[in-house]
Amino acid sequence: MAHVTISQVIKNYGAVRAIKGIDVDIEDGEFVALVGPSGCGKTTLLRMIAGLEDISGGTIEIGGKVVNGLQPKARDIAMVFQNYALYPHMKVADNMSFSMQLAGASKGEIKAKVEDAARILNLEPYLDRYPRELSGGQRQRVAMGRAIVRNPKVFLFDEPLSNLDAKLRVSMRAEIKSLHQRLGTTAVYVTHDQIEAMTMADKIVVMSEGRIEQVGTPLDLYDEPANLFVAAFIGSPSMNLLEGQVCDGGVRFADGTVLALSGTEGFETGRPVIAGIRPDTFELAERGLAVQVNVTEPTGAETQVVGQIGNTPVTCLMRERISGRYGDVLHVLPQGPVHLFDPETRLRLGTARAAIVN
Amino acid sequence: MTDMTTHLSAPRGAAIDRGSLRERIEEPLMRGGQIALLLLLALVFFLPVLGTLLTSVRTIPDITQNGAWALPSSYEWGNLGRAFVEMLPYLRASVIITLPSVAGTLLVSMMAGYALSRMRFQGRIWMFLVIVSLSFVPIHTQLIPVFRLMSDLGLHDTFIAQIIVHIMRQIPFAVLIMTNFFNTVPGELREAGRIDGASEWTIFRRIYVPVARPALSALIVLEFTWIWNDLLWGLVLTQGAGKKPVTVGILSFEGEYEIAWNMVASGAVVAAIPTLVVFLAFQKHFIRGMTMGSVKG
Amino acid sequence: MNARLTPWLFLMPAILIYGIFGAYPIFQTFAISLTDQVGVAEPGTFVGLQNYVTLIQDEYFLNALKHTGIWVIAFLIVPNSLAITIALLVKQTFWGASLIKTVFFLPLALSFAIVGVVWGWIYEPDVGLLDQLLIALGLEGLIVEWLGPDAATYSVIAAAAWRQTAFATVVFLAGLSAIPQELIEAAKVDGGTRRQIFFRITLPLLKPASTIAVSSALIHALLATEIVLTMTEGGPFGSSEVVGYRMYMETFWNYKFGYGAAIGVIVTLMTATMVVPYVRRMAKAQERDWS
Repeated sequence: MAHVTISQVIKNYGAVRAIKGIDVDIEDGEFVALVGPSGCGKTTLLRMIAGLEDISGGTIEIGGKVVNGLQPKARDIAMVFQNYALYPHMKVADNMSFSMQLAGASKGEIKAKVEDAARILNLEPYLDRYPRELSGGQRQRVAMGRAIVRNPKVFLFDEPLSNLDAKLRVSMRAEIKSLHQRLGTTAVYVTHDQIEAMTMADKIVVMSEGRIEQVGTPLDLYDEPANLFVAAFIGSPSMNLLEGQVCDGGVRFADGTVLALSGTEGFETGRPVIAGIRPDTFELAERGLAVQVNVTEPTGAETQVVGQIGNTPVTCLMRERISGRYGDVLHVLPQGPVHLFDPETRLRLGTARAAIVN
Repeated sequence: MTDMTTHLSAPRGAAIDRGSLRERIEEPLMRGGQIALLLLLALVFFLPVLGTLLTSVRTIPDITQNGAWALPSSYEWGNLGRAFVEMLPYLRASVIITLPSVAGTLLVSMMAGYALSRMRFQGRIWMFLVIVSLSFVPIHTQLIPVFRLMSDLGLHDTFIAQIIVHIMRQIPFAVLIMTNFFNTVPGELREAGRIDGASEWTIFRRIYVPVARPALSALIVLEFTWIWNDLLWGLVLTQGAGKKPVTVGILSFEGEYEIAWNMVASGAVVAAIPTLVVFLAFQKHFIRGMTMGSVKG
Repeated sequence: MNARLTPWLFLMPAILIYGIFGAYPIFQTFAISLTDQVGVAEPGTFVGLQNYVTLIQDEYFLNALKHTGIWVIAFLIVPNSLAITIALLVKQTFWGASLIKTVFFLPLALSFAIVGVVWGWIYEPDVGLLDQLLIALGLEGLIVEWLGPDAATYSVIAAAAWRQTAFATVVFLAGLSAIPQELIEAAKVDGGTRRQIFFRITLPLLKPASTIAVSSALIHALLATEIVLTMTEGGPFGSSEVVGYRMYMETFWNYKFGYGAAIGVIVTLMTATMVVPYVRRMAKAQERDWS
């Protein structure tokens, strides 16, 4: 178990700067998710922690020791790869204990550790099998077993669930989370799936284009996104973003509708803003924002309405069973927070609430 | 199924019936014709082999009286035995030359292929292209200096000279095959190995070499055949009978028996048996190897 | 291990062996071709391009060059068109396909020495397999002196083509198997006739296979040394000589090392021009893989 400190880390590929000076503090025993769209640098950062990529600038500390120049094996980390990277010619037990064999551990010690890990992961019946004889979920568990056996200071996960089908992904998600809670080892988890990050992590690092957009607990990010990028990235379906101007007592949108808000008093009238409204906060209203329906998608529990307000595409999640058709108009009002962002800096200015309309 | 779709999609009218009728007659006719043509081609292709096998177990009077294509009036298996005994020194030399050459080629090319495929370094593409191009270098540009070099080194008429030269000649192709194969092995395996604490050599020996088994078996079969079948180096680099491979042996055998066709054929059969057996037993590997590299023939 | 050095350590054995016994000799051959060296014992004196000048006036060489030209043309057409036909036929037959494939692939296992010996005897006048076959079929009229001055080159080509066809068949069959069946089915659904599908879908998609088959045919036609050596030794009266064989003769029979080296250089340059498209394709594929 260890504290991981990433300070001012930079990665250059030739003339391209892939990681642009990143600072992250990971507490001892914390489960941290690095999340962002593909190409944002999250995997590169993880591989730099692992020692698989050189560090072009800054330092990475594991357990208070700078590891910049250390080989992966000297960093006391274990990694679970996207495609599991199981050695195809070794049985499960050998896959799990390869690192111990290389380190010259005794047979008895290896056996004990492998059996321990196998018990934790329910892999006991499979120790004598080859990876090709296992299902996707079992392979995934072997990959984790290989990491557990090493008893490392830090677990690194590189999109470990992306090759599983949707159902298995959900159950493995829970399994990894409970495993982490049981072992208490610091974990860094890379994913492009924000739901995975939200459900598993103690702390999320949202990255984009080699920079950190925001660091915080899952609910922090959801409730108080620092900027438009995080607002749009976290939450599914994504937050609706509507351009408008602050007016007296609310925000006036491009189509002329006014949304009465409390909490906009501090802004000068006429200031352009982008209002961010989560799809699930909309409720049907007599008057309010006019949504032109494109399609309605019933899922049973709720209905997803895809349409537009003015020219801006919006999504509303309604608890009512609505059967709107193309061209119908629905009136809705947000019953939750309305985030206001600056269109220039793209930062969050504040959060307002819909005023009670009589 | 096909007929139905034709009916459904064709425009209505008298033309439909004629069209489908034609198809109905044409289809089996064409199939029959195709099969007949294929069998005929196969027969023509097989005749040289068949003729050689037949002749190898006949007597000369039998051949002259009944013609070359008659079934043997008596089976003279002794021809093959005699040919085998006479070819034995050549066969032995071929074994001594071929096996170490194949092993050496594999080791050297696996190492190089691993580096080219799995490591990022300056000049990698350049190196790869040089190797690809070298696999086309004709033996003719190397014969004279190699002959001279081996003489200077006192290695003329030795097995070691032939082994070295075969390894040298096979390196480009074998490296190409191994590089292409290792390209298909996920790079994550190497990284997993690094994290598990393996050195580069350990990763190579304990992960990549075992994983390469399918490529290796293909390469072994190909290299065995090619090295065994080489003629020119065997001619140029040897003097006495003891160091000459079987490909050279068959020529002197032919010279010795001249018109004793049954013996010449027996000699050819004996000389061909090792590669034929390997080929028939491992045909799949052989073909896979060829299509993996697809350079030589 | 130093990370920058590691790849070169792995490449070292290959580089050393090829460097000393393969690459260095290539340069030496160029150097020797500029001398009048005779035999191995003593280096010759520098004569500039004299050997090359002599070559283009050497009747033997020009004769061999002419035959090499015939080889190239014949090898481009005969084995490849035969192989495409065989591959298409094999692909469409479902029974016995693997046995039939083996028959066509078999020559690949045989050395040129054996092919030469076997075919030399096939062509033998009167008692040879070919004459006997033609007699048995009542086609005596077709018999010529197969290895005589008029026909020798073509007869040797036929023997070599037997083996080359085997190679090309492997390549084209692999190429055909690589074409997704869905494409053919899509073309059928789109209303393509058998002929249209072959010329507009199958053939264009066989391009990679064709590049390989054609390169291989060209190289073998240019080099064709071993088979000429075993079947005819260039005879009778030089009627089946080719440049590759000429090089071997000048060097190891006449001991004109300098002269032989010059022929070696020419053979190499001719080969080099033939394989450019293939190497280019490999380069592209590899760069794609590695980027």
